[in-house]
Amino acid sequence: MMTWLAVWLQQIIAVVLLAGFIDLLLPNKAMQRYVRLVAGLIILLTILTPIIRLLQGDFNARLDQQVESWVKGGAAMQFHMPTIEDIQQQAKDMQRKQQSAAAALTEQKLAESMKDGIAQSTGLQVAAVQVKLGLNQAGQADKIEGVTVTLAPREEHAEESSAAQEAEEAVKEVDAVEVIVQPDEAPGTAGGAAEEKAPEQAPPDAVIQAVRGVLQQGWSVAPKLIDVKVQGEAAGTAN
Amino acid sequence: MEIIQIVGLGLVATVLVLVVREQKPMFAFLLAAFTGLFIFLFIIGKIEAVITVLEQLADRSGIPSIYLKTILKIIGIAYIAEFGSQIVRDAGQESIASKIEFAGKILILVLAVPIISVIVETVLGLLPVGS
Repeated sequence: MMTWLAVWLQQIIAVVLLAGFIDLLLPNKAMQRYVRLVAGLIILLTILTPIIRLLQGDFNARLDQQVESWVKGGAAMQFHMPTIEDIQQQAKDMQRKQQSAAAALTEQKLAESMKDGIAQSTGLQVAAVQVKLGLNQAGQADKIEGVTVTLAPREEHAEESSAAQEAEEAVKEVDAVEVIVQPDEAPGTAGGAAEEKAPEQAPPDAVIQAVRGVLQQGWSVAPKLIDVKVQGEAAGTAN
Repeated sequence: MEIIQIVGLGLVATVLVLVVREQKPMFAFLLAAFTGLFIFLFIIGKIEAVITVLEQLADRSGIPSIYLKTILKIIGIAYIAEFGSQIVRDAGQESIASKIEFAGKILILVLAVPIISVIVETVLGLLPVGS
């Protein structure tokens, strides 16, 4: 108890001495008020040390941390003249963003036109078409990496399937067929997905071939990049 | 006996400034500024001894080093701001000089912000309803 009290008193005395010292060292009156404020705060903090320690544990670490973050924050706030590298970096970033936006737009447009094309030439109902574009080194989209065609299921499917054998008509009636063209990179996932769904609702080969034919003719997409699916696995033509 | 050197330098510089001012006020100002700078740099080395003593005192009494750092920074800011503002004031730019002093004051107060925040937190923690 006595040692603790002695240490505390020692600290207070030292701080007060320090404060008196800087009061002497100060160059002029104008600064004195400000410096006295800070010195007074420090003395106050020293006197309060036992209370603070009682309430909040070790506050020195926190004070250190706060000063650290304050100093760092101040440094970060300082005006930073951008260098030419920074500017070029920003330009590259912006260009990349722009190109990816352009690619997304292209994908959308391509998908729409493919949807229309498939619907027109095969009469199938297409729920969705997803196009994946590959980027070249300049970051521009220059090739189609994959097309996923999702065919809408048909309500009348059950009845029609009996008639399905007939021919084109039958093909149209086929349960919703999803055509998924997976990019080369993701053969595994595509394969897995296909296998899962395969037993229940792989679209008939005729449909796949038709869709692939349309896409190949109209947009020169390699057939292996085209994946055809039927929508509504859950809705299940199988059920 | 550095004080004699410094006072001698100051006197010589003053006489020179008075002589030159009639012909070229510009050079008079430069002379004054450089004399001030020289004295400042000459004496700033001596202050190291004082700071060492202060550090020892702080070490021995076990006050957190953050206090000493803050206090030393305050002294530095005060001196540098004062020095700059006086040179500028010599050149007749009263308004710029007062801006420099203003910046010095603000920076000193900024140094106090972490301390103030700790005190405020403590006081708030003392109040039963405070938290």
